[in-house]
Amino acid sequence: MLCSALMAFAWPSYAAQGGESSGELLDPARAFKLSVHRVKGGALEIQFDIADGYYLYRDRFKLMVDGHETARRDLHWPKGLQLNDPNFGKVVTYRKTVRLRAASLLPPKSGKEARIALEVTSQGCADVGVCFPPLRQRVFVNPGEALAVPDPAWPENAQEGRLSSSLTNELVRKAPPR
Amino acid sequence: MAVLALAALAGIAVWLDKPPTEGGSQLPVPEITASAGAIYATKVVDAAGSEQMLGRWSGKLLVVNFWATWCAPCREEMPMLDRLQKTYGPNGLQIIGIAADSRSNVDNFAKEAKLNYPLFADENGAIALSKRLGNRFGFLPFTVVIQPGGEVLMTQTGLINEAQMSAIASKYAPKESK
Repeated sequence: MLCSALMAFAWPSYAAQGGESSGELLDPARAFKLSVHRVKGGALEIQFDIADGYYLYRDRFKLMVDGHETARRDLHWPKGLQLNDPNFGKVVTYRKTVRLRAASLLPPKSGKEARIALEVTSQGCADVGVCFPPLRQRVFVNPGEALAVPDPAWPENAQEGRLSSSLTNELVRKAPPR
Repeated sequence: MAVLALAALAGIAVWLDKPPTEGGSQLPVPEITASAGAIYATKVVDAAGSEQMLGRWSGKLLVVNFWATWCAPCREEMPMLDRLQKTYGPNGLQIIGIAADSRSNVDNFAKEAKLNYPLFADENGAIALSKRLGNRFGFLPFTVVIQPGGEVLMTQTGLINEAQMSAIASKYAPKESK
């Protein structure tokens, strides 16, 4: 039934792929590059490097530390850009680089550090009029480690892996044209 | 206005059965893994909890719009979709919205928006379904146009173009001459 897909052409010329060349949308992990840094005193800081033309929503952010969700009031964000949304009222967004701290990311009082697992959910949009679904990423931070990045082995960090695993028997794979 | 114009230009339309308009260029084709049977067998739940199968609209020109209440561009294009439904609905066009969102959010939105087409909520499955229809990274809004019988005519990442959609609707759901 979808044989005509083999004759596909596109219009207009704007690609929705994961590349980084001009005129293409970035995949979410590149548009909102996540890293975790250890700062003075041993606390951890979450950093997003946001590509030009993209923005993150503050209130769509969620942090789990070792399986426990950090309360919104315990997240310490810098001042962002406030927008008036017709449905949600005032919403705060971030561009370029944003760093946030959380009570749950302070060093343990005992001084005995252990490896911790962060699960970070973020969501943002591109100025061209496209939003990304919430992106969940997992970051492991080892004791004393200064910088940690998302775990590439985690299925949700690899979008393509999640896509292929979501296929079911009732679906028919159509090869793209060569 | 400039922002709107930019957003409209940035939409990514992929025709699946026609050559591009003059000046268009060929793009990577979205990989559609859902057969017509699988598309029509897909079940969605409306805000009231009622389950519907997409196959109930198999005789219509079906426009499936993936959206979310947290997606500002998605909400921006809804009045346009509503106009299309009002204009071409009596002649065989059926628009449906499938939200990557909670039922309560969709229910609240639906009460306010009072649209002439149904809205469904599938917080966990909408993005996966859109990916099977060619939405590689799960961008929103994402719109799929399915001709009667189940063949996918076109997919659109980003804002739809009203003139383009009207042209399709005029062909497949023509207004009767009075």
